[in-house]
Amino acid sequence: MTSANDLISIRNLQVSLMSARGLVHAVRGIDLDVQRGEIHGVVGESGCGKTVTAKSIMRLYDENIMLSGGHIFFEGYDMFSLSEREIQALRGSEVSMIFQDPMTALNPLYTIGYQLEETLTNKGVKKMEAAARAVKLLEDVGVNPPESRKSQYPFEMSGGMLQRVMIAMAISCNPKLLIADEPTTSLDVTVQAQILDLLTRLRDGRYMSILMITHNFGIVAEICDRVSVMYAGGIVESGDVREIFRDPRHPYTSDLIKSIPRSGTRGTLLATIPGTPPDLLREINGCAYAPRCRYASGVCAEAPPPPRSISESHSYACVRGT
Amino acid sequence: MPLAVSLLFLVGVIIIAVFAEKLATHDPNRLDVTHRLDAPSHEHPLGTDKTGRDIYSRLLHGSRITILSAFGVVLISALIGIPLGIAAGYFGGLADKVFMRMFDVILAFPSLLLAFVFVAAFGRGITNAVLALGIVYVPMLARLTRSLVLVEKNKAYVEAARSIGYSNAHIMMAEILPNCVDTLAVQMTLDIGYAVLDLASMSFLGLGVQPPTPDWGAMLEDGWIVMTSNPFVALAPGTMIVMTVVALNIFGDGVRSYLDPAQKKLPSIRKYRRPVRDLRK
Amino acid sequence: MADRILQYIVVLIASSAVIFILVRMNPADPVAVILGGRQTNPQTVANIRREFNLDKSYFEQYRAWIGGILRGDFGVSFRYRRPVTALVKDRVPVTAGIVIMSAVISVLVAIPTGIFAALKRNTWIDTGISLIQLLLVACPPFLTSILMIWAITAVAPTFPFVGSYDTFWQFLRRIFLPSLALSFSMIALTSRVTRSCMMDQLQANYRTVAVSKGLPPSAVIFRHCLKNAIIPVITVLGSQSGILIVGSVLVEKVFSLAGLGSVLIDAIKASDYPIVQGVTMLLVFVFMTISAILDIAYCVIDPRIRLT
Repeated sequence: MTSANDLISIRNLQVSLMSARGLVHAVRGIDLDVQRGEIHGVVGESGCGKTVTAKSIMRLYDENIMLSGGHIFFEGYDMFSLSEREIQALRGSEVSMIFQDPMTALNPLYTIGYQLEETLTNKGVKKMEAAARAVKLLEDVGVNPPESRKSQYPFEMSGGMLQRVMIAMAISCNPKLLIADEPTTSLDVTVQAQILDLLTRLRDGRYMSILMITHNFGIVAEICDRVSVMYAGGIVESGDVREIFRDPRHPYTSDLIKSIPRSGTRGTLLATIPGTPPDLLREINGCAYAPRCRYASGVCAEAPPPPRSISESHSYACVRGT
Repeated sequence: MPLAVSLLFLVGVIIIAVFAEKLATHDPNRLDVTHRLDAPSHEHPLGTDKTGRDIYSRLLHGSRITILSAFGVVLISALIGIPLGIAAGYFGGLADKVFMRMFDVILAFPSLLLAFVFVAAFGRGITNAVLALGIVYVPMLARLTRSLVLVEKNKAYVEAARSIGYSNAHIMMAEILPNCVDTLAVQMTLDIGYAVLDLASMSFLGLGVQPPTPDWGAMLEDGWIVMTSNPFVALAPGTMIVMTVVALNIFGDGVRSYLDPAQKKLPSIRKYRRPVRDLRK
Repeated sequence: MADRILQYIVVLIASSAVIFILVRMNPADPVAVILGGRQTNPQTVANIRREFNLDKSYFEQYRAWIGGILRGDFGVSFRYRRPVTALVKDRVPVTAGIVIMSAVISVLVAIPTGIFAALKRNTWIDTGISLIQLLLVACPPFLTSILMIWAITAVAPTFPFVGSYDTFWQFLRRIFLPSLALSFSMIALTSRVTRSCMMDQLQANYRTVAVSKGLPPSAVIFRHCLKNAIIPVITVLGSQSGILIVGSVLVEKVFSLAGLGSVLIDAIKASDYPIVQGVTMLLVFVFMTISAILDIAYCVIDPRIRLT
């Protein structure tokens, strides 16, 4: 089922979470593969389940989130059958993660140097060596000058700098997979480009895979090799980024692509998608996108559309043929 | 459920306080040297104290003065504290600074200690104790009001009222205050509980209610020496104090979480949860 | 931090003025209090007025009082005609002992309890702890003391509640139960605050990050969350230390200990105001100093305040 080139394979993942309104079925049985060395994008509107999927990989569940089915294989290990201690050993060293809001992601009471070194010493690196490696890492991610920056507290640094520190922390133990959950959303546009550039450079230099969670198709176009489009807890289309951009098969994907602002379209109205995503508290019988889809017909509401593959590197879930 | 029970209890206490004469079996102050420190009996359901007074009747009459004075404390602190807090928050600037510095001085005293000094100045007795605690409670309520007003005054409806040309007084009292009243009411409910405790402490030290007036705190003072002879003399008022304060706390917290749904606890997901290893099958 | 120290000094001076003015609002004539009902003649009255500075203006009296305090002289009692310092000297250790011991007990019990409740949030353990907290908050310290003595007497009638103490160890044993009784309401309040602060920190973003780095749960909870949670708890401890200071007055009455409380209350009842203002000033000074020290501790722990 999983190929040797897959670093991580998600199979039929189902996750529920408790909200003030009741039990939300946030992820509804998704399949997703991330290959070695690729940048894989997961794109979708907020609330479509992409962050929950990302957190599932490292089992970063808080008390309101629950796994209700499926498997995640990481290099063949079934992540859900590992003990708490085993998963703890994987976190940071094999898989690591960076988050949306760097301003709150670091502990305000410790220097960034301490927090960076802590990551290393926790994995058994000696104190002296950790200090030296921390300087090197900060240099690698462009935090300059690293020696003096090390003794600063998070509140003394800008969002962009903190995200660089977060990245340094995440790559400190040479993980095979870096999960980036909306890493640029809360940053200025100019800083966004720098961070994306840094991530691509790191991937090339270290041969690690990146799972890029974003709501921005522009970012996907810019840095991703492959992409999975998520809608209402399911994946509607996935495959090679260039192929999907050239030939989007799912109406949601093409609607999303149309709503990217582009140069040369000044003065024209930006395409928008009418309606709102479905209520995830309820069961969805047919295609989740049907109520907003311009091509929807009777069959769409009856049964979930079967996945179709048009090539080795492109599949989608829609009854509408080619 | 606990909310309903505590509400019921509080209503009960108020009914007792109002109808104390009807419900009491004896004159609360009548001495009876032949029945000193009697154990509970048919005649005296909770026994008698060291001068033969009926504890049950004293307890009922005591509820009146205890509840009334606790209300009095909160009323005084609200009448002074809320207007000061609104003015300080709304106008800001110098008025705000002056009020806040004044409150800092009041808060420099451990709360009951300032009340002690007030009593030293104006004499012992329940009226002065109520006045003193009322003033001691002002800063806390005023600071809360101020912080609420600081949030409210930047909202659109205040801007709108100002653009229509309403006076500052109207905006403060008729526009902002009604939006703060929920939170203030909760705080005042909790404050009544603290006032019951503080008044009992003062009466216990002989600075509040003076003998022979029945009051829960003063009854405790009567009763604690004779605990071994008739524990009910102290246990009865002690239990009433604790239960009243517990009920007020539950009620206040309950109303707070009703008003602020963000604080509401999420239902547990645990009942849906299956062990992770089950999922491997 | 300089602001905080300036504020401390200003408020201390202002509160001394408040105490001084309030105490002089008492309608009782000091001379009558000093004479205590004895017959007298105008010459004695004039002598007494001079002796106690009563012939000077209020401003002069205030200056003399503050000047005296700075030299360690708290004035002379009306009733005993002895220096206030001499009257309270032996009592300070009792009150200080009770306050310190109950503060130590409270912190040692309340903070672990609060953390534990936060970690076990929304379980029956948490509910149980919050029920006990509710009960302890509603139980005034003197009632706790009464019940404690009653219960122990019922179990062990020969338990020595009263009696003298010669060694330091006996002193500690003597003040242990009063301190315990006093600490109960403080435990309830502090553990409640600790729980809610800890809950906030357990939901903070940096906690998820710390877990994602692969840190063991103990490091996440103690090294990261607890340090953040403890900062607001420290400030609350400062304002709650007032409960212990006043509460000591109540428990020492029940445990018949000779502390500052009984001196103060007797003096209030007898309008002996050199004692009232002296003891009150001392307690206010202690309370404010504790708050100020804790505020400074807060600044030291939190780099956001220390460095800006």
